[in-house]
Amino acid sequence: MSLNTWMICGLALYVCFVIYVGFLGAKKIKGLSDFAVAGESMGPIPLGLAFAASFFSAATFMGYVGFCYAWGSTGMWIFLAIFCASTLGFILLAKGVRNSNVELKSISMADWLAKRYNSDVLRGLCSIVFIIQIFYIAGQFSAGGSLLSGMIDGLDYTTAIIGVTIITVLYVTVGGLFADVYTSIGQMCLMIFAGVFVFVSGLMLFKGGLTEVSDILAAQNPYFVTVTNPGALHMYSYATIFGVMFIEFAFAGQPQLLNKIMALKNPKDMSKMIWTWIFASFCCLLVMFGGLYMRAINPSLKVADNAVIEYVKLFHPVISTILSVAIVAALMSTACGLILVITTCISNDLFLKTLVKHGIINMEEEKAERFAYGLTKILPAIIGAISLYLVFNPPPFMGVMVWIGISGVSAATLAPLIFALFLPKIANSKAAIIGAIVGEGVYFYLYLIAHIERSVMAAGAWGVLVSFVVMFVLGNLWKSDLPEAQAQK
Amino acid sequence: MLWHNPMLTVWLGISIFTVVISYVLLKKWY
Repeated sequence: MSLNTWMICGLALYVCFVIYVGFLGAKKIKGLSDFAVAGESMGPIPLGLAFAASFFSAATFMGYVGFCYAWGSTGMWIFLAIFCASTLGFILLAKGVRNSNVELKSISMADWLAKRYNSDVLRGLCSIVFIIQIFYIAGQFSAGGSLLSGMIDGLDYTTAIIGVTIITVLYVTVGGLFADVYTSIGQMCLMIFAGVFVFVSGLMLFKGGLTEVSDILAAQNPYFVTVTNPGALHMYSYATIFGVMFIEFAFAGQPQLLNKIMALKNPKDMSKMIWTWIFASFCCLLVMFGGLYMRAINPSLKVADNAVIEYVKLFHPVISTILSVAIVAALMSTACGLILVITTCISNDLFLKTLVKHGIINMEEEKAERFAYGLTKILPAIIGAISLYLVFNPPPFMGVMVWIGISGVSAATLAPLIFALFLPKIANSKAAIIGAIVGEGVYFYLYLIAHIERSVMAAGAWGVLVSFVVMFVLGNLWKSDLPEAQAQK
Repeated sequence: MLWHNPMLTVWLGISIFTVVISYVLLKKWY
């Protein structure tokens, strides 16, 4: 059998799996709250795997492997930023959220912030900001299109992105969070296999193991084995490495990851969930070694992001198929988690809890509930269609699309989240609203309007920094107005 | 230095450090 036949069979099996889980979830969904919460409580291991599946996307399996291909071992700082900084961020955030969420019982970041600051303006604002994650979704679909059209002869990019989008929208619409979490288990098994296989296969290919790989790389360019590499976009100095570390540290505070932490009903299980993440993340990240191996085998690829595709093609078609399906699983699970967050935000937080609750839209409660539930059935398709429109022509860098979304969310929500968790004495709801608007404004102005800052990551960091300063100054001026501070008065 | 590669030596060191510090923090807080 040829690679084409294997690929089509492998993809068909995978599609059957996610659609089947979607329909299992459909049996459990009776109304709006079931869509966003998976009904009965989920265990720490499924949630830990779901957290990892939402975290690792095509950016990891293609983009970060490309970093290692382009810049040598120095690219492994991304491995460390995720494995070390994101893990510590997860441990710290989980501790803060766990203590406050026992009584708040929130299911999403917008809901948690609204209850913590006692402000529905903040709720509506966050819900609107989250829509920018459509860029993140679009980046995933575009990676899926490039991957599949590169692996299957006769399949063009456009057909591939439409196929990936339809499957993702279908299973998240019918299955909600249940489908998101339980498809993640299968998707994560594939991703863990892919990471471990790529790492070990290189040790078989090179008789001298990692030493031989390092010697070949050092012969190509002595900076390929050093701790900083002046030619690397994100790791040319210790300061830029620190910036990457800081941004990954805050990544666990992304809404599609925070809702997995909040879904854990029994706080005693938290350490089991975190150990699941530590194991899964290490195995997945090992895929980055594929970039080093490919560089040692063939240093003249035109597109660094395709290093993983070229590496995968070196093996038996069955292995190539499993590894390709693993990458499709990585991008679908991330896109699915994001579609779920945006859908829940618009239908529950923005429409029901902000606009209807405060009489901006006049509707009877029961009718509004039904309307919001109807929204969850059509919004995923609308979000999918907008994402398709954004990447109908492949973007030059998939990673940039991803970071437009990540930076956009962080610039508005990171400061309110951190202040409420760790600086409650100066956390003020009006300061949070102003900080969020100013932070987002700075990011939009620097990157999208005036084009002053060329790096989307740096523009996001400036937005976050400004929102922190605004919240700090105004918080000291106005003092805390969180519910516990008002109770003391 | 491992594997004639300073960066991969740092990679292994920080990875082990992460597991140790996670173990300590999780024991302390959870």
